[in-house]
Amino acid sequence: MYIPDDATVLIGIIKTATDLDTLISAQHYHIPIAHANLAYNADYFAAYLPKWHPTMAWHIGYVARINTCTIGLRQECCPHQPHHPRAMQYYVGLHLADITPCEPLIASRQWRRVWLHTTTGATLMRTPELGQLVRTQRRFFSQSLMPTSTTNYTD
Amino acid sequence: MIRMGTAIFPNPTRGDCATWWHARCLAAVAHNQQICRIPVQMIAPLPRAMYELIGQLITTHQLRLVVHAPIAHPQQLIATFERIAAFFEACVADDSVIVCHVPTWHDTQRRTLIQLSATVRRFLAIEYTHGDFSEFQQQVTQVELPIVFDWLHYHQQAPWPYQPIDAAIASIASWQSRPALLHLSSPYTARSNRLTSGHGAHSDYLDVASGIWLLRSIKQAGMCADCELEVGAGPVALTQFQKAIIQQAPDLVPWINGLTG
Repeated sequence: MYIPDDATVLIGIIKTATDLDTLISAQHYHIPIAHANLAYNADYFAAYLPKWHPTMAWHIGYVARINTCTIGLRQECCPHQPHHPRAMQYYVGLHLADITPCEPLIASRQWRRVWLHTTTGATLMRTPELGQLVRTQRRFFSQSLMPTSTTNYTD
Repeated sequence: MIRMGTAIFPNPTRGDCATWWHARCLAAVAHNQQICRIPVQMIAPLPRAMYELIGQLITTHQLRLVVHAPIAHPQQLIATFERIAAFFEACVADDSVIVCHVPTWHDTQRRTLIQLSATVRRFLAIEYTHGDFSEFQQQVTQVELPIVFDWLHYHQQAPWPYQPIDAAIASIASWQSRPALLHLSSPYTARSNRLTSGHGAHSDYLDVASGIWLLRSIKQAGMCADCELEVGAGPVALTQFQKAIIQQAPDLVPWINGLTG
């Protein structure tokens, strides 16, 4: 997929195989409401696959266009996780379109803790590896601001 | 109680206006921020149910909406002011603020500000941007509007005599019965301390010592004021400031939380 240079791209992690199935079949991704500003800025979505993926681990595997954003409770976005600690919290649902495999794959050779990150189409499509984004852009992670811990939760 | 906030929706470009408003208010609640800066382009007609929903969130979480009007002659902004005021009224956001910057003070500016409708003047406040503070205060007193004191703008004037606390206290007093609003930010001093995309002269994080000094002085004067942080790092900078208050000035915590007078 061609991503215009001036487009804003949201890079988001796909934590499990179930999340990847949801992304591809339902064309849907969700992020906590506290980070809704990232979603409302973004034009495209890039799915980062961590180590669980057998062939595309630590790569951006898919890219998609963001159609619309909606707001709902987490249990509405993820009916398969009714007992999640944040089931009753608000999330922003990204409704995607044109999900295609990222060509060429963009690897993350050193920076493993990719969670949510925004960049531009020009930067993403020209970067040799994701770690370069950290060096060229200032970023402010607010992951520590999330109120509820999911340490002891398993699907 | 001292309400705090910072910009967490810096440049909205996506989503329809109604869901944007819902997300904006919910994100502020999730970040525990009660001062919500709203871009002026998002002041647009909403469905009736949306006004009620926003009003409900404002009442429940004591949110305060702040809109900065474009920098222009007040005469060119009358329609904008009225649009924003009508929006606030529809949301029953009674202590919201329209922040206006007045580049130069002439008779036409003064007349325009005085002749604005009572509805607009109920929300309007003038931000201190430049010039000698006492002269600015004199001008704003003539139009009977409150002053939004800006810590960074005060220091950019290199004022002498140096009396930032007196200026802040005078600005808070100008709000009379309305809750006062302050802008807190620090100047960037090094290239590395600045974001690549423009945040003007504002630093990414707040100089904690001066912030605590200001808050302590306000407390000693027996006053209260809401604080809006104008910082590049947004919610992270606010969290850092709040943590610093807990560590370095624990005596201020009950006052900030509204537990003591």
